[in-house]
Amino acid sequence: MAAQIPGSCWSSRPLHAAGALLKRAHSALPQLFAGRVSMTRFVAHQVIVFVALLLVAIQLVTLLALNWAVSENARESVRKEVEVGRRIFVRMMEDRTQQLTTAASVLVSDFGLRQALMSSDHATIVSALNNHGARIGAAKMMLIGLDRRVLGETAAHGNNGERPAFPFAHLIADAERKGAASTIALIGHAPFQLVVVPVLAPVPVAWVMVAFSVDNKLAQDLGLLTGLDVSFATWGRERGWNVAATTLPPPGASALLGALGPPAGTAVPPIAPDLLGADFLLSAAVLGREHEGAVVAILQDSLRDAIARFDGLRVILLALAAFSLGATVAGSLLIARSISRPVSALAEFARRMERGEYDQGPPETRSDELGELAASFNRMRLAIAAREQQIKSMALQDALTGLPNRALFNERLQQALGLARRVAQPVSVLLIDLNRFKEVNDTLGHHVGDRLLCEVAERLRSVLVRASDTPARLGGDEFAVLLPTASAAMAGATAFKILQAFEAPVLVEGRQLDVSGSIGIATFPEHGDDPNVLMSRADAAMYVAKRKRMGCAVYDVSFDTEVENHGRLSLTGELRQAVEEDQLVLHYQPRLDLASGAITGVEALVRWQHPVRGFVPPDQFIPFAEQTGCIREITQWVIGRAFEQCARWRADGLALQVSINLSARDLLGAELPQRIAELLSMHGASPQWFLLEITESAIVDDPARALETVTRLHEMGFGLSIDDFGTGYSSLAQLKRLPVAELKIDKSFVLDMAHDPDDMTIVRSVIDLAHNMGLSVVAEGVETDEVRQLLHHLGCDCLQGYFICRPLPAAQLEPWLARDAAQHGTTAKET
Amino acid sequence: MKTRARLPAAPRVGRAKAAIGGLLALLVLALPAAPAVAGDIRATVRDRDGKPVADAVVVVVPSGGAAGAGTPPGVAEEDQRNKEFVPYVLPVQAGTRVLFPNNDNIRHHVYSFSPAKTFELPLYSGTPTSPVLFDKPGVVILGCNIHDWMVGYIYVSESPHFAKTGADGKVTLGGLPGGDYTLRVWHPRLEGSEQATAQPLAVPSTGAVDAATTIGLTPDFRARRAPTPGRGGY
Repeated sequence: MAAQIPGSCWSSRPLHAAGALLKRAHSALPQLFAGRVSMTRFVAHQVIVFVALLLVAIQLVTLLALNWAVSENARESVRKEVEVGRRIFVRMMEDRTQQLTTAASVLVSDFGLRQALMSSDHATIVSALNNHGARIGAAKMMLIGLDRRVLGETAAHGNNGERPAFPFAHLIADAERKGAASTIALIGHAPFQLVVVPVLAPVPVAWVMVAFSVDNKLAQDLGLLTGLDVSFATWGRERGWNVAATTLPPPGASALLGALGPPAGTAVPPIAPDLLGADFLLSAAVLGREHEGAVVAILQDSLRDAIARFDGLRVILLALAAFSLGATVAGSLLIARSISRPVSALAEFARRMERGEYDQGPPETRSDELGELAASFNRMRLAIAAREQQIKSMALQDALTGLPNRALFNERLQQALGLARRVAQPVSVLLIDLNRFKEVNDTLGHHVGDRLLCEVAERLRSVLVRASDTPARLGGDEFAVLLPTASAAMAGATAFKILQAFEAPVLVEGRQLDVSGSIGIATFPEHGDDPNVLMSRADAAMYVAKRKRMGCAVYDVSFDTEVENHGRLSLTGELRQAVEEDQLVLHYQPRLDLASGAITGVEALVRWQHPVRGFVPPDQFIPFAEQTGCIREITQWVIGRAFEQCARWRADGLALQVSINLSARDLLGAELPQRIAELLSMHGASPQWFLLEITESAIVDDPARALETVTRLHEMGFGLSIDDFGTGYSSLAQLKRLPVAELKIDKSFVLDMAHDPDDMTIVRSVIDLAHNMGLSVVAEGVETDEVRQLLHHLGCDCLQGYFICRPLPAAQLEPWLARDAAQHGTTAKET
Repeated sequence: MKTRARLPAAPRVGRAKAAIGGLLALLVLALPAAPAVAGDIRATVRDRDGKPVADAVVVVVPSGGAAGAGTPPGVAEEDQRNKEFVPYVLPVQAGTRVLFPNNDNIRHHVYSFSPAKTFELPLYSGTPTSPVLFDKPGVVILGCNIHDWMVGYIYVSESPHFAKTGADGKVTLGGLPGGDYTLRVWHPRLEGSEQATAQPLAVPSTGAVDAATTIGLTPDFRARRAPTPGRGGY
């Protein structure tokens, strides 16, 4: 049997095909995704490649297994077919022999034939043989005598009288034994099946040989019955092999003939089963061997044909494989794309959210998990958008007043400046600081302060009618207004309107609160083109306005140094530290009593000896201290020191009345009288030794409370003096109610009164007014003898100023007092 | 009386498995009465195994001269009974006419292709009216065209002195004038030619002479008998 499986030639085919397919798929997939390569696409790619590879592997294994099974099966079935075919062939040949023998016997039993054959007439004999041979399809017939000589034969022409010997004598011998004999032998070079039967009359009187052609028809009949290819090959010692009859097509016949080989040897060469190579299984049988020749039957079956019978199955399988591969790839593509597309869309959606674009929802809505994810994303988007809106408004809006906060204000300022730069228009910034807001907060509580701030915000809104004007609360009591396209002059007008709007008192919890503010104005481009610069300059202007009580001020370059100095000291902590570490010192400015010509009192003035900066003038930190509330600590320190000093002087026999300045904030604090009382007892001082100076504006801010405090101090025995008289807006009615003993004319009137008739008039009027009300009058800022004489002439009671003496530390004051007493012969005496 | 016996067969033809059986009545040919001055031949025919050979025809021919006149040939009968020729071997003198009565209730078609007498009696029943003349010495093999197995032999002798052996292989030829004779033996299964069996024989005027002949026999060959309804055998 053939050991080699011819399947190997086709088994590699699907492998190559699958490999090529994969290669193509590999090169095609990236193209498929080209242009939209992303992470998700890559995942889809992986899924498809994996599925395709898996499928190809499974199909390869299936095909290989099938291939193996097919070739095994085919080989086995072919082997069986050949075996069965051989048996059938043998049996068919036996049957045929029997049939031919019977047919010959019956034929020869024909009486007429026997008569003819026994007629001894050669022509009759030949004629009868021809006739009867045709009846059974014999190719040849021959009459042989008992002496085994040919008496006549078909196809014999004429009778030359010779009686040749019958060439197949052994057949006669066989027939004598068995009644009939048969073989397959060559006549001429052609194979025939020979049957020898006796002519019975009724004992054998002669023999008849009937020859039947072994031809293609026989081969085909046997081929049909056996299912094999049947060939009858003849072999002759000289002629070699010839294929006399076959079912094979001409190429197969020539292949067989070629395989049988050249004539060789003296006997019939054996025919191996693998004569035709691995593709065929073959079985051979020597049918007859006569003299120098033989007839061989060769049965063969093609293994290739047997395998080819499975070609249909293989084609179906390959088609199925290709279809399933295609379907899988297509399906995977669809599924992968149906996943990756929404995932990509969701990723794009997430990127939009990342950029802060919340206006658009996820692109498509599906009913599966991705749809749920998209829906969740959408809810997340809405929630984030809402929260961001909230956060943004919180971030950009002042929660209390609802005004834009500093951040938004800065943003708008930036925008306005950007626009203004392009269109060459001015932009103005107003910085508004409320005066004495801290006092309101501290004394009336934060809720009142908050109401006040809200009211201020409301008034700002009402003043700003242009939509582009942006009011903002920068923090605390600090507001700002952005006025795009407004020049400094226009901004000033707006500031004026704001101040006007502040004029009406605010009613909170039954209290009337006066609102006043200081407004600083800075304008782009003349004051700066940077938001920070503009804001700091507006701030500087605001400080100046506040300090000078100007209401509003437009920035000027000269403000810088002031604000710079001021700014450096503007730390509350530093000031408190100054109090605690005794950086403050008290200077005393003598006050000349004109009536006696003696120094009867001194004004205690606080000085800051800064450890780094050196001497800091009071007008650089007192306003700030007043604003921050630090002034109370300073005042208490001053009072304590003044009490102590005065007590010491008194103990030394120096009867000086000491004037102490109280700020408006001091008066608003209800605890001040109590605190002063404690200090009095601590230093063993008497209230009569002191004059408490209060500014006119302190009473104006909150007349009721100020009056209450002042009244209590007066009741304690302190003398009271109105400081800086003439600069405030106090009414004479208020003045009348105050238990004061003295008025101090502000030095701004005094300094230049010698040359300014108006000042002169004011001074004179004040002196007259004071005297008329029973108050004594003190003039500050007396720097020249001319002024001293004028004041003396006007009847002023006391003088204070550099012409008398500058403020001196206590240690220098005492020698000065001694020198002055010696000079003028008068000094303060113990009263 | 029926006897089962091996029947003689034609030489060189044999079919081993075909056992031929038949019934054969053993007949002693009734010869005309011999003159007083005559001798007898007591002939015995055996095969090479020493077994007696039945149905062997023993012919005696006077040496040197003519056969001599005998009784003129008469009419013999070859019956067909039970689809067999009876007798199996019928020796007759040349010139004898033989009738072929059909004793079966079916028809027979008797024929012979033998050179000694070729004839044919197409299908017939009963006894044909005219007998067949056998005037040429030789062996005539009888067959029936209907029944292949039927075979019979008519031995046509040129000599008036002949006889057929019985089951014991013996036969006595009597009434022969004394003299020298040649004795020959023929049998359907004789191996070799009849002439080969010739042997000289001196026959006394009175008394008997013994003649023993040994012959070779070929295997029996008979066509297979067709089955007969009602009979299980051949």
